[in-house]
Amino acid sequence: MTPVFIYTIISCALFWGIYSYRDRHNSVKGYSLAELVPFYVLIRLIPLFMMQDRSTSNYIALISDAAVLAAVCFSASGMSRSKSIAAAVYLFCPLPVICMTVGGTKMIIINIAVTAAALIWIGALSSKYPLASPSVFIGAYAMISTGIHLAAYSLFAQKHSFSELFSKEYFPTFLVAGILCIAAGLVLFFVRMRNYGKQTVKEGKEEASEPSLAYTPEKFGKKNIIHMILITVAYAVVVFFQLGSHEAPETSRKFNSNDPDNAEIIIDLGEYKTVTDLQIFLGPESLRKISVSAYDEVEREWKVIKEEEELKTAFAWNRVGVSWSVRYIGIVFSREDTHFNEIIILGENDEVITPVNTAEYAELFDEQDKFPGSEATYYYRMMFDEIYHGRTGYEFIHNLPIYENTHPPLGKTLIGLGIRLFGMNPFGWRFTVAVFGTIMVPLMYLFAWKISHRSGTALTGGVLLATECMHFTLSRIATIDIIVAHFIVMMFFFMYCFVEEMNRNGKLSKQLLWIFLSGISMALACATKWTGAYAAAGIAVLFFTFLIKHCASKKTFKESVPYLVKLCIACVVAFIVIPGLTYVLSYIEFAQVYTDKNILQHAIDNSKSMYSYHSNVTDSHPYQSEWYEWLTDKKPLLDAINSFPDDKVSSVATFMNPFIAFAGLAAFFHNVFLWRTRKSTSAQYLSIAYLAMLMPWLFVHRTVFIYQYFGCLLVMILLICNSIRSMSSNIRKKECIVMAVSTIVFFMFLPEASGIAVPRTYIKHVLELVPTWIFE
Amino acid sequence: MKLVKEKKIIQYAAVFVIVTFAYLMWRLISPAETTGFRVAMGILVGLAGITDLVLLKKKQLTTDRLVASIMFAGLVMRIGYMLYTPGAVRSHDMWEFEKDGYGHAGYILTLIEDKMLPQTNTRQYYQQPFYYILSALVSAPINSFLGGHDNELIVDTGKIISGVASCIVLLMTDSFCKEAGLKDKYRAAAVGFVAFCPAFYLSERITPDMLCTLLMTIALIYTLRWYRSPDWKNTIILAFTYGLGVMTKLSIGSLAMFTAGVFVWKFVEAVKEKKFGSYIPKFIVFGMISLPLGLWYSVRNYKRFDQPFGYVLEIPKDHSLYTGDHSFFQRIILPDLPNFVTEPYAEVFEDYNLWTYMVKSSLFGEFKFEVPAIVPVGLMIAAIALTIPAVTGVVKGAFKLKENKEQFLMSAAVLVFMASIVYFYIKYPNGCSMDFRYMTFIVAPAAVLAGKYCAENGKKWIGTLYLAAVPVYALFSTLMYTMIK
Repeated sequence: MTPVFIYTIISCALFWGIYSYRDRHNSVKGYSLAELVPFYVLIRLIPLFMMQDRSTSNYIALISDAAVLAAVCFSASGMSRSKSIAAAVYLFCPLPVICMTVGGTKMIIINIAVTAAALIWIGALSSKYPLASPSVFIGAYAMISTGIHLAAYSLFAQKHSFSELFSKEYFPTFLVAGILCIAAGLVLFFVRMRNYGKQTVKEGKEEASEPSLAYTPEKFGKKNIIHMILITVAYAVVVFFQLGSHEAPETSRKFNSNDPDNAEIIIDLGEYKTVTDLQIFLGPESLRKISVSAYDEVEREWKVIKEEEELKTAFAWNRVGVSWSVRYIGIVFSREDTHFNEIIILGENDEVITPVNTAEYAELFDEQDKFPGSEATYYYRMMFDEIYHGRTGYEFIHNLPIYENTHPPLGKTLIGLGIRLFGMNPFGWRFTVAVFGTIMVPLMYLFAWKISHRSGTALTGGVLLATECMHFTLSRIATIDIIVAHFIVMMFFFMYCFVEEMNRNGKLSKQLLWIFLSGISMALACATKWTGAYAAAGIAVLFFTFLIKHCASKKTFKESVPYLVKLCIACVVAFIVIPGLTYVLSYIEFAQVYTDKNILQHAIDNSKSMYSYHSNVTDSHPYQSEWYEWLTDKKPLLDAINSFPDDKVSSVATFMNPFIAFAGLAAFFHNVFLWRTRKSTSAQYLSIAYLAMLMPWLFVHRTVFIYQYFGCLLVMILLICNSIRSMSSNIRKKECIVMAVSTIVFFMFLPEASGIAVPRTYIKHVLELVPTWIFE
Repeated sequence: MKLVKEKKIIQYAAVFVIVTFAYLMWRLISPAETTGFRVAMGILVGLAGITDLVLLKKKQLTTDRLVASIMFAGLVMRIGYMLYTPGAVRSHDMWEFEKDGYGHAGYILTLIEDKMLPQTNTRQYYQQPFYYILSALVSAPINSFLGGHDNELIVDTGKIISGVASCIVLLMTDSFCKEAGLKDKYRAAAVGFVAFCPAFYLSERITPDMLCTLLMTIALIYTLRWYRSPDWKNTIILAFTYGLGVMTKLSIGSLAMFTAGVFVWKFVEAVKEKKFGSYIPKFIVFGMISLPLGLWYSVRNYKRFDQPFGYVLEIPKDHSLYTGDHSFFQRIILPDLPNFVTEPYAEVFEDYNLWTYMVKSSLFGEFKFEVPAIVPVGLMIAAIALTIPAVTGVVKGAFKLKENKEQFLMSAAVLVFMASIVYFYIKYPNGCSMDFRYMTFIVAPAAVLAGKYCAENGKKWIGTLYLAAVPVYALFSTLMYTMIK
């Protein structure tokens, strides 16, 4: 219930904020059907389908609400203002939303009764004072609505009750706040009532058109290219700095519990030595169990030191604590396929002991110099989901059985390119993502330039992305998120180019080029991760919104038909054929490894299994967070952590630059305001893009993490740029301040985004901004 | 003297007489059950409100009448709370009620029994002595008159000093309004804010905090007056105020920085106009009065016990009051809003956010009460609502250097004082460092500045919020402190 309440209050606040602004400027003329239908979807259907469990009573409430809405429209038809305003006002009243989500006969009756009373009262007022506007009650209405919402949240989401108002142990804060708001609203209402009828309706004003720019649009030139190169190089330097070790044990030996010659290892140290730890670098398989024994020469038998010890992480050093004085060490394998790349035997004071029989197991003792020490940081090992994506990239190259199949394969194929170039070491598996992260900087610069045609705005976009903590972390961890995000940004960028070209009636060939490029980007995004499909839905909304707007500006529909036919054909090819083909072709590695099915069957079967997997991931995780927590950067995801004896900590976390997170959220509201009050095309485009990236997560009830907000974050950077450039004065100064603050905050948090070891006190006292930010 | 002409000093003397008389009556009656008394308090406050409503209906309600009735209600709450709350209840650092108790109680008993200052600086005996001397001076004759030999009752009489201080601060709020030129409904709102602020009731305990608050308030008013008219009268009053203030509690020193800044500012202006000659003797006299008066006890303790200047009792890091394990940002930069939702009462061993704790402890101190949840939660919400215009008023006032110097100086005083509080909390990161009892001084100037800001931006929602929140605050504050035992 909590997400529904949060969603409703944000939506209503946004509507009422804009409504009251327009009302103050006397520019509310009414809402078209094209606006009311999305309003209905936004404030009725979305909250309903956000709920994890729905019952018949919810649907009955929805139907009864539709009847009430119709009654509202009917009753309002005779009033001085358009009935569409009454419909919108009713739609954005929290009471019916609560009725619908809570369900139940009582709630439905309350809604009908309250609405009927309000209608009768407004009708009576209108007949008594035909010249007065009921909009003077908006303040009181908003207060009462807020009160109802807070009280309902307390009663239905927090499960408080009215009796708790008199309890001495429980504190229904929201319920009390709700009651106080309702009381304040009623007082305000009676105050307004006393003066009602003394004012007259003002004539409606024309809606403001898109504001004139406070600057002259520029042409893309040398200066821009220099900007792009400079920020890209600067970003690349920081991203590639200590990206990962170029070395990791690569030669391996395979062991098999069913093969007597390869089911165990016997290590001879030459004499009795105290062994404290074994450090084992696993090959491509994880979760391998072994038993470690020591040979007792007196009793002539093997004594088990560690039984069924699990080595968890592939391509990483796994520690097995031993603490035994021993000459012969035996390791027995419990699984058929276990690859060991290297074994390090540590004695007292962490000194490396070299066995005398290394020749028997040459692959296990030939890269002893690649052992980084007991505290192997992110630099030497896999972290977080690298164990899936990095590993599968390696498997694709070597046609090994495929471990990770919960996402489409393209991202891992691309990660494999880095491994081909630099080997199966941290630098190799992170190389591709670092490249994608880096080239996203000039792309963002271009996008920001495209929406503004202004170098300062473009530079702000580039710098904000380059100083974004989550972008930086995801550029240095071998997961597919940055790759899909890159393709999504491309997709939105090319679609924006198309919209711009279409709005200025540019050449059709150019328009089709942008459509094809957007389609190709979409294809690559969907073949990397399904979040690409969410973005594709957003692209569709944007495409149709602007297309309808464009066609509506023509004199007759007939005039648009030839254009629409050509566009339709291009879209089918760009957004259906190309993505479909790309998606299927991305399964080429599957078809090579598992030859029992053809590539199409692999694509279909794997997609089914993916859907089933993602629908059922509901296990709780310490770093999981809800979509509404992402908005405020509430819970970072810790990817890797190492503590050192000198009280320093190296940790890598995925979180947003807090400045960008909050400035971006404010910019979103500002852009919605610009869209609704000043008809700004770029604001409309970016606001819809942001919502399209966020909305799907409202319906997802699986375990999710903050990095799933990354797509929205990228749009937020553009929203910030668009907000600043829409301001009337001191644009350059504001941009400089924004860039400077973002850069300072980025460098402040750089240790957490990069894994640089810093004193624990710095993390504890400076970086952990809120109690949910835990970095050490 | 102007003060006498305005009968202010007589008003303050009358308050002292009334409070002392009420205390004597209370001790003579010694009621076992206080419920009836608390109900009577509520009725009196309610009657004041009803009278205002009737006058409003008859259109006879003037601002002066409204302010007078609010002050009456505020005095009822202050005196009432002081009477029904024994000195040992909701107290701080009282320790044993005996001469060598080393707490606030022991300090007073030592002064009465030995007729000399403590011969050690153990625990609370390091504190400056003015409050304890006044308490002893009041307690000794009253208790010999009443024939009381119970140490607890002897110490309890010290409440009179805190109670009188609390009442006088309320009366002085109207002086602040006049200094700032605040009139009409916002003047009433500002006085209402101070009248019903529970921190003023809770501080009527056996500690020097409320007396210090009173002296700080006087210091601020006279600094403003000195800025307008740097004559001998204002200089000498300021000197005595600071001298006695430091003799009460060293924390007044943080406000002295503000006054010093005003001195320097005025002096620099005079230097520019080449009329600085008259300032130097005034500064010398100010120093000659305030320094020995304020610092003699510190010098004595330094010589006798090697006690450093500015010494406070330190709490070790492993103590459960320690909050330094939370980041600077969590403790100081932003208020901890979710904490308000959890519960209205402050948790001295759990809470760490200065701003949230400030609001909560201004309402309930460090204590929890057995009253229906709607009352403390409603009071907390009203306090949060009042904090918005108060903070806005203080911050906006700081930008009024050119338009309104009094407003600027008041804001500067509050900001300097708050900066010292933040510094103190950084230096001593303990739950108790955040307690509002050390900050009660800011309420009156902040209330006036809020009113001033709202009066200048009357049509904005913030003015409505301020005017609407004060009656709600008054209602819940009255309910809260007439329901507790």
